Amino acid sequence: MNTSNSLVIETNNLSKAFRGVQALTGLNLMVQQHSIFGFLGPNGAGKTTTIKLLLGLSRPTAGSGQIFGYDIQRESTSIRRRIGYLAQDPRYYEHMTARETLRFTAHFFFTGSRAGIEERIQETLRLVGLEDKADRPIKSFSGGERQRLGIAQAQVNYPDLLILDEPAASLDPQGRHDVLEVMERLRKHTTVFYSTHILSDVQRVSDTVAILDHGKLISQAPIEELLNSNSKPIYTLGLKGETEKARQRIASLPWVVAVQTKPVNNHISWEVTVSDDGIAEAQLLKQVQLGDEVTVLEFGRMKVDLEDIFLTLTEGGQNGKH
Amino acid sequence: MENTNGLRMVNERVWWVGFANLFHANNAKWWRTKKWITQTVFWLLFVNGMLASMIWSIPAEIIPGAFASLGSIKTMDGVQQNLIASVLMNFLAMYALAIPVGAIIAGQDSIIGERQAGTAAWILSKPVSRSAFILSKLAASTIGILITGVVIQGVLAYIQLSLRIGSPWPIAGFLGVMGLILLSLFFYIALAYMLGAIFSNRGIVLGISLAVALMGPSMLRSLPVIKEITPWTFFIPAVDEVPSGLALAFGQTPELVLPIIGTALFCLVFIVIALVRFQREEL
Repeated sequence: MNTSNSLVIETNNLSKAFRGVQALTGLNLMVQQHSIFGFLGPNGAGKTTTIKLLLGLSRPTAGSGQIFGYDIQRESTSIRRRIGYLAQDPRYYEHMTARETLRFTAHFFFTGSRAGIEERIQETLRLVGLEDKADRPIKSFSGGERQRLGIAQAQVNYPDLLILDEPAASLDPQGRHDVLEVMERLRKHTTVFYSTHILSDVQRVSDTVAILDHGKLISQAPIEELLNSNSKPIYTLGLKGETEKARQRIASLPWVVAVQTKPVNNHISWEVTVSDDGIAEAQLLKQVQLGDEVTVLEFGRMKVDLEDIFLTLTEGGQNGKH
Repeated sequence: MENTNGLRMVNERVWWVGFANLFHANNAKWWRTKKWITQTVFWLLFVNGMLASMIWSIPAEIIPGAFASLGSIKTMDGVQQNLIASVLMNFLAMYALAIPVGAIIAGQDSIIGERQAGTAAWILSKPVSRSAFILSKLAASTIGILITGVVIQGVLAYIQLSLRIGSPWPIAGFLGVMGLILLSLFFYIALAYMLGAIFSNRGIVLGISLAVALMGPSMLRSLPVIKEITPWTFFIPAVDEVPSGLALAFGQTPELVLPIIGTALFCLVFIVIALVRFQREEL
């Protein structure tokens, strides 16, 4: 299967303006089959707008998009047959129970025996752990239970693509953990496209990430690539002794870009930025210990996490910081 | 395509895809909740309660004569002089004003409420056409009000009238009146749906709909042509003529073809506008 065949979502300069305010500008997304695609951005970045455009709930002002090769404007019903969607703040008919909600949802997708539909509903309830609450009215559900029901109704049709808008935003840590676990479980059956501003969740489950800010796509890459590409390697050291002399020696090395020092408790901490990770890995520790003036207490390569990348790319991204 | 549960995927590509499921769910909101009981009791107290208070206060000795002369009443003076006729006129006028108000209240929130609650976006993220979304609601609302506010009340009113005059009320005229009430009801439901699809503010929809219902008849004097194409002359004595619905109740055959066609066309136009507008709705 070539790359274009394995693309589930593809947008071309997709744009949306609301009464003159540009909410989304020239979005070019490419989502591969069977990926867990994290769609990141601060609040108001245009994530929900994008999702609504993909689902045909809103119309683009420019550009186009395809899902499974179908046009998002002209062939929306065909797309929605193969999609499961969980809204940011999911709403259902409050007078229905969870089972009735799933039955109602299932009838949009399936015909067949009543027993077959009930069996599918039961499977879905089991998947999200709502079997014991299946016959309670939704109005009595907690936020976490609503979210699990949301995943259940999005999953009831065996979707080829799950679109989840902030699936864990309103949940407590246990609820978030449960939702992420369900997403990981679904990965082998489906492609998951989900928006979030919770960066730790993205780093935990996603394999590809797109970052949106002020309606523009800033970056789109496999998560490992993103983590490794956006900054020069940094090594951290904890030192005791005559550190200034050692610092001058290290700073003069051609593959060292910068040495930042700061006192931490009863020792000195260094952050050494290097231009060549291979040489630094082999040489840096030896070079520091060369003069015998310092004792090395800690040494390691600083792990750049998604939050650093995100904050760098969104120029602070105060809204998205969590 | 069949999966492991023996289920087949729905693969319709029609403009009403999803209608049956939505209609079933919208019907359930009427018939599987207490809504139908509340509506039935309300209309029972209002319609049959009002009728009872009017017709059982007519002295028994004048009923045979007054009933026998209904077929010959041609003017509003004649209506005023016949106690059964004037009671029926007042009753039908009140009913004809109350039914639109009920229809408007039921209809106006149907689209706006779902849009604002977010359930419209949830449903339309499924393989459902927007036309099916509107039409299923319209059909379920119409059936709900029709049964609770018209059919049940009509049957009871027929029994009451027949008991009071001591013989069955002429059924053809009575069914004709019910038909006009149904058409009038549908006119206002369709109007409320159209306005609900255009505006997102309940106050505006309610205000315009009620203005049409309450002020429309008063326009008949200044714009007499509209009596030919609207339901306003069915029951409300806005001009110096016996309302056509009242004449029908008397067993007469008033000229109703044009107003019926005109009202039906208005209904159609309202529905088409609602469908077209909702296709463009951003959810």
